[in-house]
Amino acid sequence: MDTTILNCYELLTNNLTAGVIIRDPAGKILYVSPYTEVLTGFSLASIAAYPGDFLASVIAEQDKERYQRARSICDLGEDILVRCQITHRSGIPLWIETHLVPVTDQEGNTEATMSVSVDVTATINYQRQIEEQNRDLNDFTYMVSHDLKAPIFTVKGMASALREDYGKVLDQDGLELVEFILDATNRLDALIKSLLEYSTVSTKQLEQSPVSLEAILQDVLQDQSEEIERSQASIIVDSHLPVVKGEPVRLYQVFSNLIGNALKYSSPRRVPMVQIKLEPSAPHLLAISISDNGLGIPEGKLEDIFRPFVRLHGNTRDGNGIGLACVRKIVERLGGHVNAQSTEGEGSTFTVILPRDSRVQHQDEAVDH
Amino acid sequence: MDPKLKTPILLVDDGLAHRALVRRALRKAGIENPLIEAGSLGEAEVLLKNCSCGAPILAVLDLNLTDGRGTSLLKDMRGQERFKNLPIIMLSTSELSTDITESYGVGATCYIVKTEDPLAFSRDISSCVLFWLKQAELS
Repeated sequence: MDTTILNCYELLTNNLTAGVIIRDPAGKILYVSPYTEVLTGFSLASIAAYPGDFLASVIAEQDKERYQRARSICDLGEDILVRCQITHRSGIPLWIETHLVPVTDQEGNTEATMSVSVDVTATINYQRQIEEQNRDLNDFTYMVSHDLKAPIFTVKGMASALREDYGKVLDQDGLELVEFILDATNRLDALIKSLLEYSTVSTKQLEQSPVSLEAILQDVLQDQSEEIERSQASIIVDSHLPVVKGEPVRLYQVFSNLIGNALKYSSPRRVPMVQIKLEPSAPHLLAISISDNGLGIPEGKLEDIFRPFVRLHGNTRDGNGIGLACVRKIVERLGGHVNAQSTEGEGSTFTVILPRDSRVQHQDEAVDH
Repeated sequence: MDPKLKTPILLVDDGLAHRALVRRALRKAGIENPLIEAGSLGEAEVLLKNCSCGAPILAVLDLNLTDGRGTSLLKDMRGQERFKNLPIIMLSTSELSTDITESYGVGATCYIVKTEDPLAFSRDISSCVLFWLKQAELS
C-alpha cells in the first residue's frame, strides 16, 4: 500500500474520536487509531497482536451474527454501516456504529479492510429512555381513558333519564340545561375514543409484511366512495405505486385519514380534486404525495396540525383532531416521516415517506434502530 | 302470576348510579322482579349464602368491582350445583375482546357493554333479561 496514503490516514485518524482499524486480506493489522484503545479498553499493542478480527472479539454475543453478515458484505466489495453492542475491557457494555469499508486498488481488488467505529452509547440510551417514556405515557393514557368510561356512563345515563322521566315538568330553560349536559358528555365520549385510539396506535404490534400500496388505496377509495360521489370529487392515482414493508391495517389508516381529510376540507368554491403520486426520493425510501385543491393550511400551522386535538376549523367538520396525530405516529413507527405543504385557500399536499420493502443484504438492514 | 316473574334478580355492581340505571331500565321494561343488590364481591357472597328470599332466577354482574373481578364470582357460582345453569349476564364498560373471551370462558350467559348510548343500553339489558325470563326455558 502507498505509504503517503497511510500517512494521510494516520494524521487524520490519530486525531479522531473514532476507532479505526485497517487490516490486509490476510488479517494482519496495518493500522490502529489511538482512540481504539479508549473505545475498547485494550492496548494498541494487544489489538495489533490479536490473531484475527479484533472487533469481532469484543462484539456482544447477540450481535455477533449481524456483525459477521456485515463483514461478509464488506468482503464482497460493498461498504456497510452496522450498529452493535460491544463489551469494554472493563466489562461495561457500549454501543458502537461501525462503518466497514473495503479499500481497493485501481483495478478494484480489495487491498485492505477498514473499520471506523464511533461510540453511540449516549444516543442509544437516550432513544431507549424515550421509548420507555412513550410506553409509560401510552399505558397511562389507555388506563385513564378506560377509567373515565364508568363516570361518563353515569352522567349520560342520568341526564338521559332526567330528560325522559321529568322532561314534561321542565320548562324550556330546564330542558336546555339537560341538553347541554348531554352534548358535553357526547364530546367527552369522543375524546375518550380518540385518546384510546391514539394510545393503541403504537402499542398494538401488528404483523409487518409486504403491502401493495395500490391495493390499500383501492380499498380506501372503495370505502369512501359514498363521500367521493356526493362531493363529485375527482381522484387521480398514479399507476405504478410500489410494494412497501409495513402493517396493512396501519397503512390503510394512514391513507384513509389523509384522503378523508382531502375530501373533508375541500373548498366549497370548486370541485374537489385529489391526486396521489409517487414522488422521487432516496433509493431506500419511497415518497407518496396526496395533494388536494381544498381549503389549505395557514403557514404557521403546518406542524401544529399533526399534534393531537389541534383542529383548525373548530367543530365545523366531523372528527376529533386525532387523525393526523395518528397518521404521524403510525408512519414514524414504520420508520418514515410525514409532512405537509400548503397554500391557504388553494390546497395542500401531504407527503408520506416510508422505507422500501427491505431487500436481502440491503445496507439499511444492518443498521439497527 | 308466573313465579318466574316474582323470583328475585341478583344485581352486583360497585357503582350506586350504575345499579340505579340498570334498575330503572328493567322497571321501565315492565320487569317487576325484586332486585337483590350487592356493591362488591364480598357483599354478593354473603347475600348468596343467606338467600332467605330464595335463590335468584337470574344474575347481572359487573366485571370490574372494587374488591375483584366479576368473573371470579361467576366462576364460584358456576361451581355450585344450584347456580350451574343460572342465566348470568356480565356487564362492563369494557369492549376489550380479552374481557369478553374471559367472561364466556368462565361461563357467562352473555356479555353486554355499557355503551355510550343510554337508550340503547337500557333497551339491550332489559330485552336480554326479558328474553331469559319470558321466552327461554330455565332449568
